Amino acid sequence: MSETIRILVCIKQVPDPEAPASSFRIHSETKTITAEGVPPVINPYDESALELAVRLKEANPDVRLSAVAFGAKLARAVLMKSLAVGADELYLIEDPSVEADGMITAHILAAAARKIGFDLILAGRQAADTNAGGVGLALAGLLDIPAVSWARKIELEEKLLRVERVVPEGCEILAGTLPALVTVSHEAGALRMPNIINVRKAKTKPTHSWTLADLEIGKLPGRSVELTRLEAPKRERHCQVIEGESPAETGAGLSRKLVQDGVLNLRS
Amino acid sequence: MGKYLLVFCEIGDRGAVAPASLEVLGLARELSGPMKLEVAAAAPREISGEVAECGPSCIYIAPSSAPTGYFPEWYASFLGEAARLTEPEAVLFAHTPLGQDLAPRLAQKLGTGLVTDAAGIRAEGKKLLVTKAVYGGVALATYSLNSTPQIITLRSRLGKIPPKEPGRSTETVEVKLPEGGGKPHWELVNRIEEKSAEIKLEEAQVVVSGGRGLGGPEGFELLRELAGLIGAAVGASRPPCDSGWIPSSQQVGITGKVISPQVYIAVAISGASQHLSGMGDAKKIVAINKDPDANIFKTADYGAVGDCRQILPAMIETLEKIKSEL
Repeated sequence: MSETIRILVCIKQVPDPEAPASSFRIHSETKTITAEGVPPVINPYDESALELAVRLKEANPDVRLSAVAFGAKLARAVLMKSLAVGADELYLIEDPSVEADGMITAHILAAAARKIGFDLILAGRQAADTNAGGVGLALAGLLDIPAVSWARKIELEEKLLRVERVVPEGCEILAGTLPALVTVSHEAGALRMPNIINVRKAKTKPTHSWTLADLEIGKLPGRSVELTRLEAPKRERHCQVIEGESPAETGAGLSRKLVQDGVLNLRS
Repeated sequence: MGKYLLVFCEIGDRGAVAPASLEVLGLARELSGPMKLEVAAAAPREISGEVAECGPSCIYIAPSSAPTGYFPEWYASFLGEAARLTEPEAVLFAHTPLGQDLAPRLAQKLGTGLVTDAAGIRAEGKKLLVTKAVYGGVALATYSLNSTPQIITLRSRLGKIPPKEPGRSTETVEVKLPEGGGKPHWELVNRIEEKSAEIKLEEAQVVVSGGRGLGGPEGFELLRELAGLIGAAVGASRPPCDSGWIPSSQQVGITGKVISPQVYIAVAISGASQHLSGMGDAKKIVAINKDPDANIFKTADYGAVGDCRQILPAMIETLEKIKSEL
């Protein structure tokens, strides 16, 4: 029997980025945002990371797959989707004593990763809420393991890792050894839908709830990123609507107007 | 107290300095006055001459040529050393793939915080206030960093490329990489070019994008025809990419490419926040949608309501006619 390969996927709970803009309320005084009537989701990039992890597990029965989430007000039902699609266990880290930024989050995840154990860590390239993209690579630095960003495909053979990495002109295929961390880009594809049997099965899989006291964490760094203002973007423009008797006339009218106003230049 | 704003300059497509890095240099020069700081640049050896002509007070260069392949450890090590020597108030990167890969590594190495994808920046004393789109573009956040150096990646076109001063002499300092700092971990096995013959989205003056309402890959054929006629690049919102109608490299939005062309024509795109924050800076926005209440019309300069499968052929025909009469 060969050795178990431990894969850890970091998942973040975020407000659903696909929710209609009208469901979001921005509270400028408290600098917070709420999505009304829309349940949170697992960050879509992290879902892509989870999808790659599940594929690795399918290709390699020796993989043990753990999902780990850190955050406030974690919705167990939402994060248990990771178990329903194939993770073996789920770690939920919540602690009201800490108001984290990306670097603090990376420190907490590093402590969790050390405690859980890992050969390969996967994370989304960024989170859909803050859109920052710092935690994964910082986590690798803290654990002192090499990292690749923006993977769309990962293959594992023993402890050799082969990563297809998205670059503007196409992709790079990289080879390296474990342990390592890989951040996953949306090109990897969306997470599969769990089927009803596996949703039921997920409830029997272990879910561990931790606070910072459960981690050997030492001293956390101070918060370095401060949100000073949160507002709605101003995008309103005055729209000149081109009308026509028929769609064809509308189209012709639009073309004429755009050329007339110099918006489109057909000479170049 | 630091004396510098440190700008990382990267090598662009054609072996010259990446234009995005030059824009950041230009922006750093603007910020440096009120912040009472000087601009230092960190650049691979190959482009140090060109960077020098763009006005930094000093340049930190690597001891060897920039490695080919994927070698972030080398860059992070070089930048860590340049930051140690300059003790900058801030390190600024262009929000390029390389910048996005290096900034978090450097922040972690230096034990400081970072803000990425800045859409706006201003100085208040030695502090930088950074504005960026969050929650998929639903909100605009302003952040400040209370640790130094402040590490920030900046969207393109925030700064102006500084004029070149040929022959300008600039103090150049060679950085020594720390022990083990140049060791690669990843072996580049292969590089696959998937470049299409079409115009690059990021560089296009005019972009024609399609959404779910195009109905399928054949809808994009019509879009390509229009694009060919007006010299435009073809983009898309997220649903067509997810459905495989068009490669996801053409996706415009927070999750895809953030662009600011002169003209953006949105065809059958409803206008989700995450899409709008990827193209909202376009000079002129034209929207075609069969739903008169579609969100996209609120941010458009020109609009046409109707089925794009009928509107587009008529547009193309009219444009061809106008073109033939020129």
